[in-house]
Amino acid sequence: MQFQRYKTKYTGLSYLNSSEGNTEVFVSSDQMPEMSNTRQVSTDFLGNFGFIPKIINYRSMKISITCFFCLITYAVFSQDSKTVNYGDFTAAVGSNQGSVSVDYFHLWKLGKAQKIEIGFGGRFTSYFGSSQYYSSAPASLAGDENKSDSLLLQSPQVNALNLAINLGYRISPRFGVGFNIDAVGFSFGGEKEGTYINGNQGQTTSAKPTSFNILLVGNNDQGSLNSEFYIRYFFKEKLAVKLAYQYLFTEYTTETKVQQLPEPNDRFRNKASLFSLGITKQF
Amino acid sequence: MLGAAIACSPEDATPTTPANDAFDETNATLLREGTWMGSGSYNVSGVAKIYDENGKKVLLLENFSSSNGPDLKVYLSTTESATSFVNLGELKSISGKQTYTIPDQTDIDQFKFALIWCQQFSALFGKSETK
Repeated sequence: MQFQRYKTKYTGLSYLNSSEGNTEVFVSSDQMPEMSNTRQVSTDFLGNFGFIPKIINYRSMKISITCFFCLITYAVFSQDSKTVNYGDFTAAVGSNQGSVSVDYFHLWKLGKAQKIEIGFGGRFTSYFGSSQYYSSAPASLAGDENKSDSLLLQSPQVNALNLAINLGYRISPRFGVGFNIDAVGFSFGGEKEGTYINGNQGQTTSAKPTSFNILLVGNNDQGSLNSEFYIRYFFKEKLAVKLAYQYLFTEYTTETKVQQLPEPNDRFRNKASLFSLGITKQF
Repeated sequence: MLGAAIACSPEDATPTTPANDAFDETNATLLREGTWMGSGSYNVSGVAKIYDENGKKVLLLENFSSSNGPDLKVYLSTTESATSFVNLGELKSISGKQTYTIPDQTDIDQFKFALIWCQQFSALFGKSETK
């Protein structure tokens, strides 16, 4: 069950559940919500991965990242380990938004059958959208919808170059599955005019992509970061098509700290769920 | 601007059934008044009036008519564009008599422009400077 949250002009919050065909409205004030005066607030990181079991939490993510680096260390120092390189060109689309990305990964093959592929590489992602809402990015604000405000950008466009990590599994000579995520890098793009919205009040402002990107835990992430769950089909020995679910953060920093309450803030984040198609070349 | 004009096409339309909100002008004090004007290719006409009704400020749209479009909002703004605004809510209908409650803290001398604004695509449909 997944909720979309809306903030009304009153102090109460209403929650619409539309994922199961029914619509339930809960109002924490005794006044009727006026949906005409609402804005959407992004759901949280894990909530957007609808197919990930809810038992996954931030603690397990920390453990996973630690395990990943242990495996990398093991692979690098293992004399039996073979390596493989993949390069991808991927195009992704979503609701009024999309991205193109180019990446190159160097992976170590692990296990007796050498089916586990783990390693790192680089990825350039270019994101473009139309009429996209960004919400307050700092963890202290993003975790609480009552503290989160919005930045509406008409034509966001962010370019990000990041170091990324990848974990894959070669099911068969023809098929492979995996997950990759950007870890650290930088972003660039032009300055955009936008509207800062705080409840029923707003003002125009301008914003630029946040320069520094880093993957941390939960809402502590900063900047623009791409991630994918993918499946590859090798139609030739070293050529494959890739189908992926892409989850892409982009972040803008406003020219001034437009949000003042409950604390000054100039960082706003958009979380895009995209479906992508790509082509992979094995090197 | 061209993109906004195309994007704000009537496909995702505001309701067309004429609104007919009840509002007794005889029990309210008229504070400000202005005439609606369309912006660019959009047509907006009628009168915007701000009343004080028992201590509550209300924006009344009379003989109102507007071009259709998606995500149309009624704003009070400090300028002829939405540089600094108070959102009074979605436009209830593209025509008819309609009222919008103005939040208590709003300074109507400062926020003297009423706007019909396509929020999704940041496009001005119409404006009225109230005096």
